[in-house]
Amino acid sequence: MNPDLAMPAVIEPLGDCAVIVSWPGVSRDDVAQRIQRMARAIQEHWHHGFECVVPAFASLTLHYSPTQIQWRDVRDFIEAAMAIAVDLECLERPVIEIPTCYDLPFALDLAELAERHGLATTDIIRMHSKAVYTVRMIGFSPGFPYLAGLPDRLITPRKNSPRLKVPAGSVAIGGHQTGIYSIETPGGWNIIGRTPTRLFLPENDPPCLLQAGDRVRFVPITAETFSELQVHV
Amino acid sequence: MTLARIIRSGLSSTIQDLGRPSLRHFGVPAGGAMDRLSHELANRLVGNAANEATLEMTLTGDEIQWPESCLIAVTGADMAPMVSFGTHTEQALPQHRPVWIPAGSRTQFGHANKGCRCYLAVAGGFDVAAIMSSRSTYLRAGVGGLNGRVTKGGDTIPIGISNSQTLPAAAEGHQVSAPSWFIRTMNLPEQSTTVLRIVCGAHFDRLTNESKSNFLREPFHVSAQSDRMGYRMTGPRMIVEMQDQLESAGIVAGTIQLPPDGNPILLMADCAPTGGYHRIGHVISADIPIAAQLRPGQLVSFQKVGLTEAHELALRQRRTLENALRMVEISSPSRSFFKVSQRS
Repeated sequence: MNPDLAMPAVIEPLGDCAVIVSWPGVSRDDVAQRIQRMARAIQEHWHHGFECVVPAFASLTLHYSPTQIQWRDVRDFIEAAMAIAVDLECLERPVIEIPTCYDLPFALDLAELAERHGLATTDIIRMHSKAVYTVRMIGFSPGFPYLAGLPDRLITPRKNSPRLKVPAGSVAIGGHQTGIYSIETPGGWNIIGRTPTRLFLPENDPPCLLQAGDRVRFVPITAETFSELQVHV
Repeated sequence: MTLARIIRSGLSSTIQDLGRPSLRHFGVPAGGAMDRLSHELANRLVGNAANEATLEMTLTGDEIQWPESCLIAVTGADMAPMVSFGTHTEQALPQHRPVWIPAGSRTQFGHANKGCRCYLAVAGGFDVAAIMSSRSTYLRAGVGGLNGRVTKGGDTIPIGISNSQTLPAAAEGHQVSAPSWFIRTMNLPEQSTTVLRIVCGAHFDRLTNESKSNFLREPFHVSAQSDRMGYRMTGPRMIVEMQDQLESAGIVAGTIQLPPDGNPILLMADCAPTGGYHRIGHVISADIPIAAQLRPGQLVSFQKVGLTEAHELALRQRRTLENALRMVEISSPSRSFFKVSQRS
């Protein structure tokens, strides 16, 4: 039996102008693939009454305008898209490299993390930059990628009290995920480095470097390279 | 180039259009005017498309100078606007209708005596640069509108060229002219409790029975911690039977989120596209304009409706606006609306 049929999606209204599709009981990696395929199926068969498809960790949200499409048609559309999605392939995306300086003054919590895990800071840097991550979703702030694929030994709970200001470009670990602060915001993740690469580019189309499904690797750079790259931005 | 000059800024005035609803998957808030109904009405009254940029003024409005004659319209909260020009004495600026103001006019918006957000549209729209396909100000990221910030004294805001032919020849004299008719889209919230209609959220059933009935019966205060991102509400504490960590999922303006402290948050235009708190309800689309006009300290209560009814109410609201505009034939360029005023 087709696994997609064995674990059917749940379609749930999110207020009167959006709908959430989720797959309860499906494993994390499998659900990520389903979300990606479903998002593609919807995008390829777009209706003018739709506003946006937003992938999240375990679900996908479709925003629509209730004055332009009827709820019954939204439901039918999703069911049709689900059938189409089953046959779509999951595209393997190229790996995007994020140059990252793991030195002070950027790596605010690296020493603390090393002590906590009984590792040398160089081990943490090696492990963090060796892994290839997948963008599960963009959220929290514009362009902020939630990255899956953090080595188990680096899993670290969020800080007890969040910083009021985390500089843009800060590379951080929060729980079993790593991420990059795209703009200066408050934040509770453990900061281990900073990238000169801009993730939120409001003047560009698309306005963000990454999107859900992209793959990412961190490439360690020196403070000098950091300054050079920053100047060229 | 035609422009408007800010003489004195209001409390928190921003340029807004219909926002960036198609960029949510990049973590960009949909944003745009909080009260879309008043925003659109102001635009349509001066012959603009619904998506032109207006000035959204919050609680206290701006004082603005107009070096060129303009067709403007004011909707939403009542800030008792006044207009003056040359040596003429100040007069009340008519609201909810198109108003022709001569070159050199000054408009003054005071403190809102009813409602929270007032919209000022000008024929041609406020023509600031679009960023991420919108002119809306997104304060948190500091982009859009006037360099991503609120208005300040000395700002000049460019005005676009109006495509509409509603500008009547009769109005080119040196006087403020306006028709006697007006279009009002809603009753602004009063001091008594404002009812917001909701559809239940995915986690409504996780509330204790007591919280369920309190949520749908008791009034909640809009707290002082309320802005374009959302309103923190205080009232009976909402208790979830089974507290567990939720995965971050889609949210939308109107969503009522419940953080662990038990005080609901009504999310508004600048909310993030995703959130990880329980979603206990959603204010229906048709009532978001009313919610946008609530002021800190005011009382609201939530009334449950079905999804079908919510959709019907959204459609009905749209039809009512279109019908009202058709009645006054704003879309018809051959009939100057100022003739209506001359007749009266």
